[in-house]
Amino acid sequence: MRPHAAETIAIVQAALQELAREASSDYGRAQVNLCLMLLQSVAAELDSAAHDLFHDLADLRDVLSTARAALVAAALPAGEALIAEIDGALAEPSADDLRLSSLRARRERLLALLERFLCLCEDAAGTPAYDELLPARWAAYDHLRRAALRGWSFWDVSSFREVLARWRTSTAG
Amino acid sequence: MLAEQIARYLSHRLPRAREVQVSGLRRIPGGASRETWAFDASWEEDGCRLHRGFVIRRDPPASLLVTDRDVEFQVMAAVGRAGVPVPRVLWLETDGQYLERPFFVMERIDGCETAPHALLADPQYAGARPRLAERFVQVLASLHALDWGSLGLEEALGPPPAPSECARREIEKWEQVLERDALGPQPVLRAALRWLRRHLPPPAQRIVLVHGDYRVGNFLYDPQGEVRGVLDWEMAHLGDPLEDVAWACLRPWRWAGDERVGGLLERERFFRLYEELTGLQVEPEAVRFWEVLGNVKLATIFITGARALAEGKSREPILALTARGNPRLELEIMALMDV
Repeated sequence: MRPHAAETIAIVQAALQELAREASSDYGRAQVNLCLMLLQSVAAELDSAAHDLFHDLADLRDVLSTARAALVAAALPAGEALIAEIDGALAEPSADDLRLSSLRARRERLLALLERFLCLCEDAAGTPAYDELLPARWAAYDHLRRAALRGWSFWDVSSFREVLARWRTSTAG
Repeated sequence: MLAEQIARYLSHRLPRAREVQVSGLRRIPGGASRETWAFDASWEEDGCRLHRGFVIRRDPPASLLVTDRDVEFQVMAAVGRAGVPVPRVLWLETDGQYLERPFFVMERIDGCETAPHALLADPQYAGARPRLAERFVQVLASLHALDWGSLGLEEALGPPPAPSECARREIEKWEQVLERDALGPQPVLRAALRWLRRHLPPPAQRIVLVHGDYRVGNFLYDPQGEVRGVLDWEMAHLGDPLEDVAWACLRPWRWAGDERVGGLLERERFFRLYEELTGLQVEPEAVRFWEVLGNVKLATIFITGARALAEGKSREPILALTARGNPRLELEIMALMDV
């Protein structure tokens, strides 16, 4: 069906730009511009959303697998329940439902486990177990950094302009 | 909000005024925690026709911050009496009797700008930038020099924390907001809160009135390079002065896209000037702590906005836009944590 979703967003953006010119108040123009930026943000992730989430899930499973091994090696009492829950999550079959809502829900479940792992790592700092957790901790932050670099934010046009280019270059390397 | 409602309200507040007229009512863009409206009013009083400009800050149906407007009003009144440049606050209404929702009224300061991009890009302000960079630090120093006890601020803000408790108190405050409002896992923010507990700064060198949102973009400036009014006092509290110093340095406010604080001045110069003016030491590791916490606080504020949208309490696009910017804050937090 044409226009497809990305084309439709572009059409709405163009119409809103016209509306912004017609708006008679600063507040009206500002609201339309905010909507334009929101649409820009949605458009920036639309095409690759399912692809990104699908690969996120695979990456998260790898990271959690590494985290599990680190938790076993660290032998932390607080880690036992988490190991069992990671086992449960990893035993689930890989995603075959590619609807965004379904992929997001799966990602949130895995991300909740990653959150608990990272909190446990930060709490273990300064203990002998910490060294065992470190490689998986780095892997977890690497995953979160890659995910956070995606898409478009209104800050990319000003405050984060230069540093974002550096982060993207270093991650691509 | 209708001009007639405001005219009736002014008649109530100005009992000697006759024939009150309100014109030019307009909503001011920006600001996601309260609605800001400007208007002109004129009335007859003692045989004279008087004209004044006003601003109303009204509670929104939902916002980024769940803040106490009474505190903001009282703090602005107190610091204004002490000589800090702020719009003069006039009346506080704590219920919806007049304009459906609580609000307060202040005098309008004309001939000024707040937008960071005008300051950095508009040729009209090119000559003002060096002076504004200095005034930005001077005003912060004067705020931190206030004797908040004699201003009665303890009554409005509650008892001060012990110098060794400032950081922990702020961690707990924002952790509670995150627990209340998070709509899903927040691994970076929750890990950062734990990191912060392991990297507490030294005790505050002095307990000061912390503005809580002191940055380029939150003050009125004029083409001569003068700060005419510091705005948005809703997060004011008693605490560590370095909290404000670090907040001013946060990357989201580095509007020029490079490393300059607020897009205006180099970090080293900012710290040196502040130290000279206050006699306080700006210890880089302490600033790093407060920068991590500042980014966590900002991300949490945006999460509160996302919850308001998810629960249908607001339809403001700014709340969606800011929440969708949180991944950038997470990147900054991870970089500051050096992970």
